[in-house]
Order: sequence, then structure tokens, then C-alpha cells
Amino acid sequence: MPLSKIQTVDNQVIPNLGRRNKIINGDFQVFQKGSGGATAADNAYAKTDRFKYFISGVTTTQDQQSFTHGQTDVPGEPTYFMRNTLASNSGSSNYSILAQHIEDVKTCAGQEVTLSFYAKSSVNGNKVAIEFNQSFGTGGSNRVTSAQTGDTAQLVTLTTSFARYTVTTTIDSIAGKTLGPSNTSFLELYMWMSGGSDYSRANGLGNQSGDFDFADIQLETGDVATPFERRPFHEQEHDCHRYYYKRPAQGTQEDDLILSSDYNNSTSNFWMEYYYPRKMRVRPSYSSASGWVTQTPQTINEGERHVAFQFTNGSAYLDRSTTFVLDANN
Amino acid sequence: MNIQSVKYKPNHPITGEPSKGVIAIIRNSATDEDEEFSIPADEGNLHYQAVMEWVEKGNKIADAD
Repeated sequence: MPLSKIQTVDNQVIPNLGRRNKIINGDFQVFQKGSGGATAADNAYAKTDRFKYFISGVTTTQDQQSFTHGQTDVPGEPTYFMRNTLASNSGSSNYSILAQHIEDVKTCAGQEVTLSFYAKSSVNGNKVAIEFNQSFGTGGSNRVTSAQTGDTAQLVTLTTSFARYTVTTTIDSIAGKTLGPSNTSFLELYMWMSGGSDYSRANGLGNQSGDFDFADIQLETGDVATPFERRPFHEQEHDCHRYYYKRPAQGTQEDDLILSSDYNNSTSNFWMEYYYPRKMRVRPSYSSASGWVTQTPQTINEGERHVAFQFTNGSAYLDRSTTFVLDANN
Repeated sequence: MNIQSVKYKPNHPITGEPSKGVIAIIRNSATDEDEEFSIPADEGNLHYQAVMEWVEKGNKIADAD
């Protein structure tokens, strides 16, 4: 069969080819930090997995909104959309950006790409500026902003109803660049929701406020926006676990994971290994622990595949109430 | 990240070797609450990167408890 046949959208072959979407959690199914609204912080993740914020002078809140079953505004029965509410702002240095870091700067380098997403705003005429940046990792070349056609962001203008928007551009080549380890480099998607006049790279976006609602964000190679690739929850959750894992409190006795400390070399050194659901991007930070039984870990050694906890007695264990967070986000 | 304080992790309980990892108190700018993070010495870890930037600004990592 000639290649042209399987690259055609109209014959419905392409939509059946998987793993097109470079964005993880593009339909916002995974939010390990819990549902509900959250105030977003600069250079930090709010509640939805894999989506990060960059903020200066713009109070921004993120909220997980549910679609009504059977709605037809966004096809394919997505469960959620993301609402970002921006407070009024007017400073030339103010900005609010929704971002995703796509691991490995080789991703889409030198290739034509198409970003597609559904969006609406509470303010008719609000715009979103789409920008791609390249970060070359630890020890690599300096970061390149607006690493795309024309070296500037592309604008789309929203209405108060959901519609699908597409942006096609070519990502800069990485020829001549020095690359750090692939797990520390990334292609960065910026969705500027507000950007004061200091940021010409935002293509004159300007200060904006109101609700910005997004659904089904997809980045793929080529100049065509194919239908959104809706992957099952468990697959997306698995992808998210490479970057962030919250051991959830379990509900029933059957969910208990009872681990006795499994090694000791003295009466005051007991060790327990806890394996993650998958290998993480880098060695993660450990935080937000609660519910350890009899003793909290005295020493914590985080690896990429597992963490070793050390206790001074042999009776410490995890049960259904024990939670903690392992963060390897980029 | 709004780092409040950093100290080294305790020496390895078996080998006695000093740890390069740290324990940091970081203020969550959204909730204004302090959180404790156990952070490995991994240059790709965002928290570790923030600690190194904090040190470059003249701050000092305290000894382990």
C-alpha cells in the first residue's frame, strides 16, 4: 500500500494510529492531587497532572470542570475540561501561562507540528498565544524561546462557545546544539493567557482576564489536526507516574499494603523498599507524608525505581491510610 | 520556589557516609504553608536545582541533625 494512503485523514486510517499525541493528559483525566479548584503558583504544578504554570502578577486559579454526558460541543465524550480564571491585571510585566514540558528536546525538533485544542473564554475575543521553547537539559545549550516559525507565538481568538483551534508551525532544528541527558531536556508548550507589553514574543497578546477553558489538547507531527486521541485513563495515569506519584489513601482493608521493615543490620536499623508504579524521570523528591504506622522514616533514599526507608525499630509499616508524594516533574 | 531552610540528610545509617541529599523546608506560595521535602542529589530534580540556585545566592546548607 502506498504511504500516501495511510497518511490521508479522510480514509479514517490515521485516526486509528495511536500515540500521535505528544501531550500527556491532554484531556485532563488525571489529577492525582485531587479534584476541585486550586490557586496556581509560578513555576509550579497545580492539581492537574503534567500542566505547569508560569505566573507573574496575575492571580490564576485552576479548576476541573465536568462535561455533561452527551454534549456535542466537544466530540468524543471527554469527561473534563480545565478552567483557568485570571484576575484583572494590567502591568507590562504581568503574565499567566499554561505549559507542558514534553520530555526530550529531540521531540518534534526540525519538524512541522500541529497543535489542536478546544477552547472558549468568558470574554468574547480573548486570545491565546501559542509558543514553543526548547530546553536542552543539564549541561546543554542555552534555552531557546519561540523556537518556531517566525520566532514568535501564534495567536488564536476565542469566543464564548467551545470551538476547535489549530496552530501549525515548524519547531527549530537542534543542529549544532549541545544536549544534556534526554530526561532533563524538553520541548515546552506555552499557552499564554495573559502577557503584558514587555513580552513581544507573545505576539502582542496583552493583559487579559476572565475564564479560559481548554479541552482535548493535542500536539502531533504534520500539518493536519487529526481527531483527538483519547487514551484510557490507566494508560494516561501510567504516563503521569513517570513524573509524579501520590500514594493514595486506600479505602478498604483489602487495599491495605502491609510492609514490615524487611532488612536490619542492627537493632536500630530497619529498612523497607517501596517500588514505584514505574521508573521515574529522575530521582524524585519525597514529601507530604502522613499515616505511617508506629514510626515515620528516619532516613529516605530516593532512587528512580524505588525508595528505601530507614527506621529505628522493626514495627513500622504502611497501611491503607499512608500517603506520600514522589515528585519528578520537569 | 520559596526555600526557607535546607539541611543535609543524616549520614547513611549503615555505611556512615555523608549524604549529598538534603531536607528542605519550602513555602507553598499558593497556600502560604511550609512543606518538608526530602530531596535527592540529582541534577535533574527540580527541587535540587532550586536548592543549588539558593546556595549560589549565598545561602548555606546546614549540617545534618
